[in-house]
Amino acid sequence: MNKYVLPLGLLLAVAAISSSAEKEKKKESEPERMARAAMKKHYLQMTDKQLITKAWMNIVERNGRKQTRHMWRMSETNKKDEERYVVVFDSPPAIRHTAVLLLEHRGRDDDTWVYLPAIRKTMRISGTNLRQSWAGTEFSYKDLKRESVSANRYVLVKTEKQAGQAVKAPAAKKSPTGKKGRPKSMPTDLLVIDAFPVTKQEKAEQGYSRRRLWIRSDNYLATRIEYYNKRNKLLKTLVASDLRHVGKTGKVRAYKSTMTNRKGRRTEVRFEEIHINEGDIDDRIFTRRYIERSR
Amino acid sequence: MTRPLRFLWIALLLLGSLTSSGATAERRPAAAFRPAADVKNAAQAWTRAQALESSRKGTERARLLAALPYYLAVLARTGADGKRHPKAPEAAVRAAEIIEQECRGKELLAAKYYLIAAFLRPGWNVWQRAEKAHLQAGKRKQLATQLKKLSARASGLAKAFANKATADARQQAERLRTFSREVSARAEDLSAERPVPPPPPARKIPSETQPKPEPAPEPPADPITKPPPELGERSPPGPAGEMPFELPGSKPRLSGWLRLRDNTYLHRHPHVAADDIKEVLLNAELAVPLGKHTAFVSGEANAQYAASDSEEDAELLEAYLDLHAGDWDLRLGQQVFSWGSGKLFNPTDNLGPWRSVDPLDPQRRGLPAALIRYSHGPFSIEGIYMPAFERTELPKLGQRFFIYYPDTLENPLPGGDALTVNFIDEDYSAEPGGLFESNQQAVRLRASVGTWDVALSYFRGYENIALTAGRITDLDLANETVDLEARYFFPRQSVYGLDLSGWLGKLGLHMEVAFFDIDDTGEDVGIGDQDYTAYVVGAEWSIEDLIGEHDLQLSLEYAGEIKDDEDDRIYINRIYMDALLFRLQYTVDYRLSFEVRGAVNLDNESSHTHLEARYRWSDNWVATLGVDLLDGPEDTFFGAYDSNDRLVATVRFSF
Repeated sequence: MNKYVLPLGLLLAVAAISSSAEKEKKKESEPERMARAAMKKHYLQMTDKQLITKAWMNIVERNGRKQTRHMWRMSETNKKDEERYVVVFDSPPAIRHTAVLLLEHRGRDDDTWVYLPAIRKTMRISGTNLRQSWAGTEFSYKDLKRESVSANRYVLVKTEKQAGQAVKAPAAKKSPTGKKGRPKSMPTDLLVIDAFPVTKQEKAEQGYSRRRLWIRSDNYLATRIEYYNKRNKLLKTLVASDLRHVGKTGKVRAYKSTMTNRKGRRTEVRFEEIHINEGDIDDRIFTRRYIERSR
Repeated sequence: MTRPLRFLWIALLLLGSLTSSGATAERRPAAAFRPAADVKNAAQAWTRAQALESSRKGTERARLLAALPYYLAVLARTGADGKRHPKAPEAAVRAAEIIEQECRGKELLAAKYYLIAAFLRPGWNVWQRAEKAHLQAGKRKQLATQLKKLSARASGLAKAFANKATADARQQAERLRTFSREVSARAEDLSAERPVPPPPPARKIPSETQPKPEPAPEPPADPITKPPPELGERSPPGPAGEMPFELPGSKPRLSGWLRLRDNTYLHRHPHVAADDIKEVLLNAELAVPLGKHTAFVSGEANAQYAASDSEEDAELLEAYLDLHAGDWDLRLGQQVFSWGSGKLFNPTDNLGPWRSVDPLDPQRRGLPAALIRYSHGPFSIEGIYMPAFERTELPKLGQRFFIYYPDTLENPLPGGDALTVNFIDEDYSAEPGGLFESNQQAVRLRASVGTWDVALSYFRGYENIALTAGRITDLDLANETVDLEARYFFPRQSVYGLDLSGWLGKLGLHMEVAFFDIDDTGEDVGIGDQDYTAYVVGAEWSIEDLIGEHDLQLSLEYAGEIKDDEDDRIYINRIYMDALLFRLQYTVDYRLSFEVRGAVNLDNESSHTHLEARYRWSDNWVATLGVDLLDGPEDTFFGAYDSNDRLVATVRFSF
């Protein structure tokens, strides 16, 4: 009997140690917990049941030459938290009526189609290669998706005080007093958070080793995001500005976003209109049929 | 106890009995449907419900069922002032949605929660969602009674608002009055003995553009005050919504492009003198929206200038009316069809004719047709009727790309030299003609299965690229010449197609197979009217940032045929019997890119290669400089054109 006691005791001790180590591993530090909480709020801020936008997009080369796109986008998030969107390009003429349809799926690759009016065909494009450039811009397909909070580890690095981008009232041109000009800026706390992809899929989709996000503590909007490559070198930087409340939803959006890569090429997106939760969008819009008749 | 509250308690009791009896599939202990003890008030219950629903743990069903008791708690609990939480209406709707989705057979219970939400916030059109379940359960009269009460409540609130002085309150009152009238009218319909008319249409953002409507009524702020939305909360779907701005295409718009092209041929042609051909091509289209329907017209004008002569031509490409109703589309008029997922070659694409005067730069042509399509989710089926046949326009005798083959024929006299062939005429008398007599039909079924797109197709019509048979019209043995007339045939055929495309990781894959069941022409067209199967399998791949920020895209296809017999004729409708097709694009940046594309026929070692540099001045102006190289034995398609190597320069302006 005694000969079993020692090995059994050792086994139990090892099991207890490994179990506590595992618990220790799973337990988040305070900066991680705070960062995750902030990112969850950021996720909720950026999640809309319906979103309809109209925007100008400038792709500006280092030498200053720019190409301009005009587009509108309709998106909807369903009860399974899957997003689907349609983007139709209106300008320039060479790509007019080109349309993109994306249907996000949980547990499998997204479905993405592009309708090319020049050849009158709809092409399915890769649902896994989310690292590729979106419509020739500095944004990747992954950059345009919402944050995958459970697939990243977040660490609160520091907090900063920002002189403040004030959040404008919905499409406000004038202050309530009738005076022109920007609303009064208030200093804002910014949470500087490092995000590291942890799941295999997220790593493959992002292609970044790390992102550093500046999250406003009042509305949890990211005003700046830096993207780092696998060698931890800065790849590109997103700056969001012109923050405004959208309609009566209480949501805040950046009406201007600029993504600049390390070589100086940048993509500026200027939203003309943003509409959130203004009514159900017809299901038939998120179909190949709709993008094929967008011309 | 007020009526809505009584409803609430009945509903809670019903739900309690439902959970404790284990009637639903969830089979959870009843305790799991009670809020946790640390949830003291409605506000905490609301926060907990939202957190549970948006968490990523567990299945969607588990998350929803976990959130449900908290939504009910929001409804049931009142604050110290005796008022319910401002989120109570949203909680009722969410509870109803969860019950509707997750508890089969409890639609009536869900409907009652919709009614509770409507009572809590008059002006909100959620009451419409309660109707179907009531009608199915035969509770029409009960619903009518509830709606009358809802109407009365809205009317009472409207009066209260009307007494206030502010403009907002008066506006609110007006909206509530409208709402009350709508609900009352519906209640009348339901209480009458006549058949129930369809409910008022749900106001949704239409897929078609429509005039901008008046703003939707908003729920009243009093007595249930709508709080400022909390950060991150998901607002419920608005009571009404229309497209908030005009979509592109909601106004008539003219667009198109102009292309100037210069073809400089590098070799003297044995039959044609023109070595430099300039071409102007104008393509224009006009789309005119007609409510939710569209009229569309497009056309092309072409002018070619050679040293000795010129040729102008204009053609209507498309002129159709697009009509939409629900899941149905109808397109009537001249239209262009483009089938198949192959990037470089499409054996299933047999419907429409082409303008192939320059076979290296063919243009699609339209033909009159009626298309009807039914679409539902990822599935669609379409039927096409084309009342009259139109052939593909091929190079004419005297043009560079007319196939002057064979050059010589065997001399029937023993020991004589080969006879030189003179092509003197073309005979199109066998072309199918006549409206309805030469009709064609097609059906296509498309679906998305997982990450793959599948299409099955059937076409019954004519081969639109002619089969050729030579007829000797004069034989001059003294001068060793023979005059030949090209006779063209368009056999009737049935084509059964299968088309598959999808992605495996970063590799795009596609496959098209078409079986051609061809009617016998009774003419000497070689294997041209024998049945065969054409197929293409292909892959595409792209590498981003290959060198610096340069991108590379590669498409590769193999096209082959399965057939019983073979011969060594040239079939201009079947160029790729055993061929490798390729396209490689190297993009330096938005402005500059290079492309190599072409085909190599493996069985006869003939090939076409096109090399091109493309420069984009601006979004509207693009210039290209390219070269076409054709090579192969003279009895092959590309070999017959080997005197047509050329430099091609184009400038294109889009508007």
